[in-house]
Amino acid sequence: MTFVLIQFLNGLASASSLFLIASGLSIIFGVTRIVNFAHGSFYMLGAYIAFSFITWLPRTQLGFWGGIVLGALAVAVLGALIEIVLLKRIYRSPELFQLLATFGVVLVVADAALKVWGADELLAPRPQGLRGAVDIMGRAFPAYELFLMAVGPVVLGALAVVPAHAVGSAGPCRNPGPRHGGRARRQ
Amino acid sequence: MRAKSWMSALVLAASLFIIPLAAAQQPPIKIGEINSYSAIAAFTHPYRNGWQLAVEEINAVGGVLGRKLEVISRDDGGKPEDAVRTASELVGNEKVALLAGTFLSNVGLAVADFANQNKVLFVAAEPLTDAIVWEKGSRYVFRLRPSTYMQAAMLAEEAATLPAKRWATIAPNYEYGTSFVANFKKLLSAKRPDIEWVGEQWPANQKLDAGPTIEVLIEMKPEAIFNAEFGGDLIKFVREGTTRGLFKGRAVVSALSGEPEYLDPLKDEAPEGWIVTGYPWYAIETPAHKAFLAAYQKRINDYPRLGSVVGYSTFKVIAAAIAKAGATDTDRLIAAMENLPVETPFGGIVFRAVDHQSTMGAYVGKTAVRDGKGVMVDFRYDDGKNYLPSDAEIAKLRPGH
Repeated sequence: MTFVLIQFLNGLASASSLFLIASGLSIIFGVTRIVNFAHGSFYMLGAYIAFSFITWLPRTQLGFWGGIVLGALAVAVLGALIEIVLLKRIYRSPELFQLLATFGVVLVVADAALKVWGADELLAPRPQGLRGAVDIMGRAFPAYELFLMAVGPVVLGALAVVPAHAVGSAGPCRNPGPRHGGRARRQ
Repeated sequence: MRAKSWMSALVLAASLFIIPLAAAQQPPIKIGEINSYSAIAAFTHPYRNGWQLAVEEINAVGGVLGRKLEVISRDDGGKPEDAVRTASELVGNEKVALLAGTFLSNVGLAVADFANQNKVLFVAAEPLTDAIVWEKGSRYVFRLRPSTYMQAAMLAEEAATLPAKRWATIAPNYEYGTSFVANFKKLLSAKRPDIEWVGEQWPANQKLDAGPTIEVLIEMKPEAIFNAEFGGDLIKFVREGTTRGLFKGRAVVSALSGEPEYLDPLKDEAPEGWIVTGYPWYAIETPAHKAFLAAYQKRINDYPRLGSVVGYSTFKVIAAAIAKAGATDTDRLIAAMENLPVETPFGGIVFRAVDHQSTMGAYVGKTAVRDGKGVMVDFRYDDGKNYLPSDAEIAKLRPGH
């Protein structure tokens, strides 16, 4: 029984981190109506950039969480750049073209990451307090996974509270694609 | 003299220089090199540094047989079909004298099969499965690194001294993993018939889902664990395993984990007391290795990884074979390579005539953490020639022999 419970918790932690990524993809789709094929690349860049900040900053709680925040901000800036440079031009294109264009971003980012961070495996340190394990029915369960399990629902709650139109009003509704027949989308 | 005569004289004089120059520039010896540069860069980038250093050293003294070596290197992306297509292109279009390289065992087998079908010499550098020289061996294929059998034998020798009776295994689910576990089980059970194999895990290569897999291993209640995971999987295995208490009170025998390309990324999270094969480059005192270390650090400005030794040795072997053969003809190269002694950073090796496996060995020792980095301690070099079965047993394994 302990075994099933622990595997269930493992699954929850995995699902939570997948949810975080998927919710980002969903928001972007909701706003731009483009399935951003390069979303995984942004996730990767976020991890790498956060790693660079975390290893550069001192090994304290502020250093770790500050590094995460800085990583998120850096990817936000990159995302804005991609929107301005690429996505803005393809809102009215057929979906296949949008897919191809964002796939191009995938290739560029993959090679760029290889150039900047090299080919070696990089292991990011975990923050103090989340390195150890919590005893659950006699088994050691990683504290970091419990943290991940908590973050997912928190983000979900935040997304439910922030009104959808506050997120969507900056989108291309003024220039809707041919599918939408030129009408503004109902919020 | 008139202008026209001056011109003719000048042209004549110039041409007298060109003729001897053309005669001195013999065509280079082309060697085709294939490896998984994009798939497993941690190993293959140092490996490339190693062979580039070797080729530079060889060409600096004029090459072999008065001809420089020219290496045409290609990426196979870790896919056997791409490797075979590349091999075909190297042999057909580039007209290389021989093929060398590969890393993954399934890719190595595919190129070995190609070499056998097309009667081209293939010097397999790193792929470890026995099948390359035994079950699927052929006269056209030579392999440098100690095989899964040899390394399993070295590790089983240590494992047999442990009190543990219940063993679990975890290895990547492809040729290398299956070969290593099969050999380790066979060799350890032969020394310790009392051992019970309580379970196995077979995650896909470089796609280990560490948490759930480790919980399954814990549930098996082993007293010791045999691991053949490497690269990114090893890192996940170590971190998750340590956090979840998998290694508490259990012995771990871990293939390849002492190699710097796999151990160094762990930094101060490196495991302690694991029995591993590896490459303690910082502590090897032999003159051959010291010379290699100095040359490598000077030229590459980085410390060597095991891949560096493999790349360097592969091309030293090729140069020695061409020199002895006196030609680049495949049959003469094969004849030259059999029983040819070659000096490598690990000492002298020989490619045996019976199976074309080299006697290169491996360093076996225990892991420890010093100055925030994983290192190997209490290590010794196990010479490959002591960890091979008899010629009679090998003859039974080879196809048609």
